Amino acid sequence: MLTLERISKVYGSKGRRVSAIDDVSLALPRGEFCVLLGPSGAGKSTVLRVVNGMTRPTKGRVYFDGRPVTRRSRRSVQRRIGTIHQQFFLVPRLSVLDNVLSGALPRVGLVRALLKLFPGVCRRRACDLLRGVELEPSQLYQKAGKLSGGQQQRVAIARAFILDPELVLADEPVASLDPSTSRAILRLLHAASRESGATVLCSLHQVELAREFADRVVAMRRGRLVFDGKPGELDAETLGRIYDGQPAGPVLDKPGAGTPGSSPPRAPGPRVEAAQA
Amino acid sequence: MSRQPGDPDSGGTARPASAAEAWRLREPYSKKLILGLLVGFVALGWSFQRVELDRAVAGTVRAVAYAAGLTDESQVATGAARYAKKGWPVVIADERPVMRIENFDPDRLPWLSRVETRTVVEPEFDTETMELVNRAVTREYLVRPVGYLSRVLVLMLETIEMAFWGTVMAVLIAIPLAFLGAKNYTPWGGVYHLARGVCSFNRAMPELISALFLVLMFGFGPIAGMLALGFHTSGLLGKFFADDIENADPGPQLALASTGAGKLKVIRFAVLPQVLPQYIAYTQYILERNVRTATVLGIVGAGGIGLELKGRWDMFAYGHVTTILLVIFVTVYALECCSQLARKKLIGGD
Repeated sequence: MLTLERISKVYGSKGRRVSAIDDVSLALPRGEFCVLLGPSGAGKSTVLRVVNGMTRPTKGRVYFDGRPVTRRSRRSVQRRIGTIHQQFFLVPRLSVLDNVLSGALPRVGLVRALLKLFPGVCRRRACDLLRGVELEPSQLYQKAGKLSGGQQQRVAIARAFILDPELVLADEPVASLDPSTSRAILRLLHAASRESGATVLCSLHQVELAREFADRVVAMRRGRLVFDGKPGELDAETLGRIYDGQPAGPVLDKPGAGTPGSSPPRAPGPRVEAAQA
Repeated sequence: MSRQPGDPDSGGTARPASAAEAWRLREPYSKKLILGLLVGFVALGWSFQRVELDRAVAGTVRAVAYAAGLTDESQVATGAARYAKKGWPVVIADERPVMRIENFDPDRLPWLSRVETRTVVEPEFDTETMELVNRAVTREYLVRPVGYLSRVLVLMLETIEMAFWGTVMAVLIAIPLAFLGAKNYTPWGGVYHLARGVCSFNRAMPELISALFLVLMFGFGPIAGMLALGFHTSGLLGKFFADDIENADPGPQLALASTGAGKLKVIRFAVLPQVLPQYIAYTQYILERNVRTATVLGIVGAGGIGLELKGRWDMFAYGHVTTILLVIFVTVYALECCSQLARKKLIGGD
């Protein structure tokens, strides 16, 4: 389904070069719910951005459905990927319905799009999805900016699924939500992906949520993969390795452990390269 | 953040005992700031003198003294008094000697008008005695009680129309300029600089001067005024619009772009809804401003109420001038009220 082959990404130019991800390889089979764990600045977002084509890797290749993603094929690949963001990124002044429909823009003709004339099929699909994420029919024409954070993320999930994507990327979808809302949102995301058979690559901070929903957990630290396996294999020692030597526990919910801001070599901790799938 | 003392990330440097030693605080008022203020103050004083503000202050003080009866003469006060004496009462009616009206039919007078007969003393040159003699003449006048006011109102309407179409033109020019001149949507750098340059050029040309050119090209009348207004304000709106596009929240744009939607679609769904309320506010302001500016464009023959204003001023018909100024004031005020209402409905409604 999705294969990353030795991806590296270096930001910045001559003066300060910051390596965001370094030699990351990963293969996701179809229909898998894969959670990407790791402290802030580990390169999770960069991996997701490379996958959906918003960032070009410095080195390495991305294969989508067996074919390499190039500058040419980027658009057509993007249409098959839905993305959910930490800050929701809805258009606050548009209605809930229009926000969901805006996910279908690539498939609607330009004139129809400019006039906001979406085909009936899309509109009905939007309603089905909104019902799926437990929104009320009365909220259809509410401005998205008036909704609570959890409701906005529900709308964003509906938007990501409107084109029946084969792959859904979720970049810390619950990082700005409270714990109970987080669980509900992930349950909806999990259910939606099961229903449509979509593969999910979801970055998270919360280890317990990863344990609950993931089929597979991939962990990153300082731009490198450090763990790849079943959620059950996540033990305290592994977590300690991921989170910069800090004890596993509720502390892990808080971002802020070491960032790869400075490139000089750090004290080499025990680093075990992940077994590559 | 809770780092252990032995943390390798502390970089190996010894930790200072107190934060005050390592954390350099800035003075609340730096020497640079104080020096800058002093230089600025001196420059202001110099400029104050250069534009003769000192003379203005002196003249005003003298006028106040004159009004209080402390001095006998004041240039400022007499100048003001000259207008005040002649500028009141306002002229609302319009009267014309009947003999100057072609095909005058006393049985079919225009609406709301009447004929008045008046005896006036007029100097006449006596060809026999070769002297000027004052002679009483009886003349008939056609009086229209609100004749002048209605003429001013018609001219004001023309002024508003000029401003309206000028604003429409400005918006139509500004929108493409804005998207070409917004860093995040311009096709390439050259186009960006070109679009920004066109905006600056349009803004920089004073309306009165471009109106002069346009009067040469299109002749007297509102066309020149409309084009001059549209041309100038397209530069203003283009800059405002473009800046707003650049400052719009990038998140939703990124979200839609990452689905593979094209630039135009992203603009329609993620940029336009964000910037629209501000665009409406800018356009309302520009319309208001264009009405105000259109009132003086007539001075160079570009249509509207300005020509009448200038004509009456040059004839020392200050009563008429007062009427025109009052109509302009009422119009601008009414426009302000309307646009406030419209803004509330359009923006506050959601």
